[in-house]
Amino acid sequence: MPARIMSCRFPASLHYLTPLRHFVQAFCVDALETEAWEEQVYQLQLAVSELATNIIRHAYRDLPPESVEVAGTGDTSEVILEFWDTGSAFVRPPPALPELVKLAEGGYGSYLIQQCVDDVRYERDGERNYWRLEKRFGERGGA
Amino acid sequence: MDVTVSVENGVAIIAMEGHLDALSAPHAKEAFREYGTGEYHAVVDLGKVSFIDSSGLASLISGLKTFRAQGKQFRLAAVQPNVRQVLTLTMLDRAFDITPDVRSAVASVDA
Repeated sequence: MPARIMSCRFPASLHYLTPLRHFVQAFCVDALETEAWEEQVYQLQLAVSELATNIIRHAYRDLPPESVEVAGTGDTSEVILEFWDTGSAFVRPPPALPELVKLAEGGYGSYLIQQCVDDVRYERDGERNYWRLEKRFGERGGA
Repeated sequence: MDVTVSVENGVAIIAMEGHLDALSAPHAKEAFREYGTGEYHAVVDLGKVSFIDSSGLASLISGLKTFRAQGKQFRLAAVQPNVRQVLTLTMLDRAFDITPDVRSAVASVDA
């Protein structure tokens, strides 16, 4: 089967997190041609949710919220999702887990993204932020 | 996300339903603040929560700290596999008292 491709654009609002996760799930099931990798699909949904939340909360913190572009490619073993936004540049925090004893109420997002996908890339592309998440599925799924 | 609360023998059973994410986490925190004034222990029924992210985790940590500060217990019950996975990934499964179901959670608080 040929690789699947998709693209969408969603408003930079927390109200669109749930539809975005559903969209990612549907795309994964279509590309993978199975619902067998539910746990790994959930991990990708979680990474996407964390990334989208960061874009909405941080990239557009001092700016009027615009939209986020998403493009995806996938086949029966791998899904790659790319994101573009016109918000402020990110300073990526180290993806370290907060100390358990401190019971921090923040700092888990970057760690979860890193844990839930096989590769994360970020670039400042002109006036836009560019993110790329790569997730492998099945027995060779790494994350 | 829907949050409903019932009180039973000094335990506030805080039942959540839906996705616990950046949009809904403030509602959860609000419930924890409302019932975390020292009168009740808390059992958080996560049986119908199918998704949680770091904002949702933050709301649970906030609840834990709120109830602990009042000398009260804060337990999670009926944690679904996807949510458990996130608690395990972040090692927060070690921070929370997690009980398989609401009944045993309430009973263990009474004990």
